Amino acid sequence: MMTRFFLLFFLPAILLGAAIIHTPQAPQPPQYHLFKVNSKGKAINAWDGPWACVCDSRSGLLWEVKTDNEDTHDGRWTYSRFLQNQGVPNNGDCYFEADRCDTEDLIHHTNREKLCGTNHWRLPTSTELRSLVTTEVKPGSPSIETGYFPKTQRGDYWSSDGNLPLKGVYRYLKVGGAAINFINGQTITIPYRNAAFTRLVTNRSSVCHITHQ
Amino acid sequence: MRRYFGRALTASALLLAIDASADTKHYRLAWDGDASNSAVIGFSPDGSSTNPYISYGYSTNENSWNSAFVSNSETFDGGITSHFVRLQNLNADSPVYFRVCDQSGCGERFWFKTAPVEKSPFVVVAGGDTRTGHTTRRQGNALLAKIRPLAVMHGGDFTNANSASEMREFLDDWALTYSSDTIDGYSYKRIYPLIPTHGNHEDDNYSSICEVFGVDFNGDGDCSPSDTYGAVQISPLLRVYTLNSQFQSSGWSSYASAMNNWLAADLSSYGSATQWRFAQYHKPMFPHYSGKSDNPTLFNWWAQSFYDYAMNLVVESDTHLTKMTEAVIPSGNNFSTTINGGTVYVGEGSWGAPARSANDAKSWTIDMASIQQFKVIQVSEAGLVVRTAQFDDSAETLSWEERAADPMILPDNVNWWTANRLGEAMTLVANSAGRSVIEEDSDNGGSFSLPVTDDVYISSRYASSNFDGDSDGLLVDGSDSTYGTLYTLIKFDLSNLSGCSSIRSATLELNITDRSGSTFGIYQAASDWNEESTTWNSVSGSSVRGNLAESFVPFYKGIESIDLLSSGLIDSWLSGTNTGLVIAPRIGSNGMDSTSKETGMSPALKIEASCNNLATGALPAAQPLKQAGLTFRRPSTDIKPTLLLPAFPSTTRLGGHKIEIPVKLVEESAKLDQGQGVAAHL
Repeated sequence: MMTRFFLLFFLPAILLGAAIIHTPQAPQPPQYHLFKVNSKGKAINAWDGPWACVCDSRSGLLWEVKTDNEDTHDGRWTYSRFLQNQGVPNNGDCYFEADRCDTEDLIHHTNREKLCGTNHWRLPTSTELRSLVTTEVKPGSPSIETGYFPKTQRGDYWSSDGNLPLKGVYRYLKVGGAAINFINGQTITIPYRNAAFTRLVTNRSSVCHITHQ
Repeated sequence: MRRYFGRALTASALLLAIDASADTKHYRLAWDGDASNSAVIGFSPDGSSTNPYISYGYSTNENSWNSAFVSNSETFDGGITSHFVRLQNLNADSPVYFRVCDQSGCGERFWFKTAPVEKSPFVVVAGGDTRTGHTTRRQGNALLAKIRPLAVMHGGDFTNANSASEMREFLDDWALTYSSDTIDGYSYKRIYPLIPTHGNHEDDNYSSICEVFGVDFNGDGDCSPSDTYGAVQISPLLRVYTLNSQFQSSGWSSYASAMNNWLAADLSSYGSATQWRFAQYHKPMFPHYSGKSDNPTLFNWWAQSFYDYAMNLVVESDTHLTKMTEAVIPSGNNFSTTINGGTVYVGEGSWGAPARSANDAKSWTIDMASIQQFKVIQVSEAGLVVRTAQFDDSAETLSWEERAADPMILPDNVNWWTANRLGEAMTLVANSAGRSVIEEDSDNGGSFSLPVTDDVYISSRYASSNFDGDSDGLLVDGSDSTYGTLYTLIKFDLSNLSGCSSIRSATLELNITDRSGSTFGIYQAASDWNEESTTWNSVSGSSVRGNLAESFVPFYKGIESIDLLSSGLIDSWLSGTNTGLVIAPRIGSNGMDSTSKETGMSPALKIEASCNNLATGALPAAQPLKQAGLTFRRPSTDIKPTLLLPAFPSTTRLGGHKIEIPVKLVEESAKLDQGQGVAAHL
């Protein structure tokens, strides 16, 4: 009786349970390290839009995304580098300031706007900015993933690294700031007075965290 | 009673005349030929304007005025109709007062001034790229009205989309360039002649500038792409050449050939008859922004002609920044600095369009910056004074009386950009060949680059091969898998040091294209050589390394500056034979590449020295500017004391001239202390 019960019910149940346990999971595609975030700070699917920021889950950095609608984040605006009273104010061109523009103007406006739900926007370090550089791009395109970072210009983007010695024709200006050139990914030092592009970053957002592998 | 009635009728008629206005707008004025006797007035209907015409004369007494009728009408982008009246046989150096009239009466009162036929001085403004940035564009326009130039050179890209709507906005904003005057009790607007250029944002319609401004450079009566180039004679002092850089685009080669043939012929026929020659076109030959590609086609078309025919000043646009260059001479595929007379290039267009990062200096660049600007150029027989006006509201406004009293005066409080070494103003004088020489204050000393005469690399593995002009540029390597050991040899023309009593700095600049962490040495070449025939064998290989002058590590791409003053290298060249220098590996095996004069930016040896200015060949023909009676509102900063000394040392005296250089070359044995040179440079 016990043997029959075992063969009829218990053994099949054990085998079924073991089969379930050992059934391999359907393979999941690895999550891409970049994902889109809307202006409210909510993550959205890769094929959704519009998006105002991009999170890099490798670094935990949330990046500003540029536009072409002449708002604060228009990718064509240029800024002189001015941070904490170091640099040259109001020597770039944007249309959201009565005066001309500098990096603090963009930071101020973006924090006040609470872009993507955070008000901790800042200039990236050159190391952080270089993490966006990719060399596998179409000829003539900026060296960045334009699918995630549209309206990026082929030109210099300011970093927060300053007080660096200038060379060549600019040597007389003594020091300047580091910028990443999104033509070839090179880091160059240019005078604070230069009108360069700017992409802000924050490492203090609720939506973007480092993914530990 | 009749008398009172008559007076009332007269008064009413006067009031009617004042109140009446033509149904026209968007008044503009262009020059496309002899500016002393002709001009083109353009305007557009504002509603229904029937049979418009121009009433004009040389005084404010309108009873003495003549009428001139529309010579041609054009439609731009299907949305802007423009009528053009060509005034000819005008009196030279005269105010021309005019009104546009039609069935509704006569409109606003305008006036402009024709160019003189004497060599009397004047001011012109030159800029470009008004296509976007309306706020700063308007600031620039308003500043122009305060400066009251004789004419305006516009380098193209008037609008972004070259559409009727954007061009209407441009013409609306252009009204800000009018200066307001009260003359003989009447309200007048002074309107400034424009010399327009075709830019790439006009590329969808190569007839844009004749459709909008009525220029007919070739005088055939048609508006066509052939009207995008031509010459304007502004008095015996200045001939302005407008060229179309967009003819380098595919499909325009026949126009390019016609333009360049015309340019060569015109420069040959008329160029030398004029004191000064300016050129304007849109795309720079060598943009000072790395996001823009060089335009070697333009260099090949024009650079040599500009030099040969003494083009004094070239105004380029497109890049949205400011630059000022040395006087340059074509050298291979690029320019070299010369103090013996050359062409000065300025630009690069930021009259509204967002400024870009000025990040691509050349060895012949004096200074550059990302600013909103146009150039303000004082033109006189004695010289040219070029300033860069930044756009803001700070400038005072010149009155028409002030301008009438002094054709060279500039307003107070213009926010002039200050260029390194030059300050607010670049002063150009002409040498005996009519080419431009930058006049600098002897108190500040000269700063200039010595031109490269020879540059080449040699290879131990291809010991009998000459690599002059090689597409790889200049190579240095300790053990390249293909070439073996590679040295670079460079020689400079030292004749520009004639007349220099002391040298304060001497800096070698290399444009590094392949960086390295290795240490390289700069040696005096032990034997003479020339780039056309030098091989590893011809200079006895490694024996070509003479005394070690300096060491460096080219950590970064871009300009590598190496101090050579303390090495005594130049003194050694001057006192002995100018054998040039050798760059060879010292520590490490990773090589470095740099551009040669054939492949891009040539190596440069920048000198700061107190000099008696110019070598014999650079004797300027012009009078010192102050002796010529030029007046400026701010003399303390405007014109530097003349450097045109009565006596110049001849080149034959160079050998006996003492150059003060403090430190002698390091003997070769000292190079064994490998850290010494490195530490000195690092």
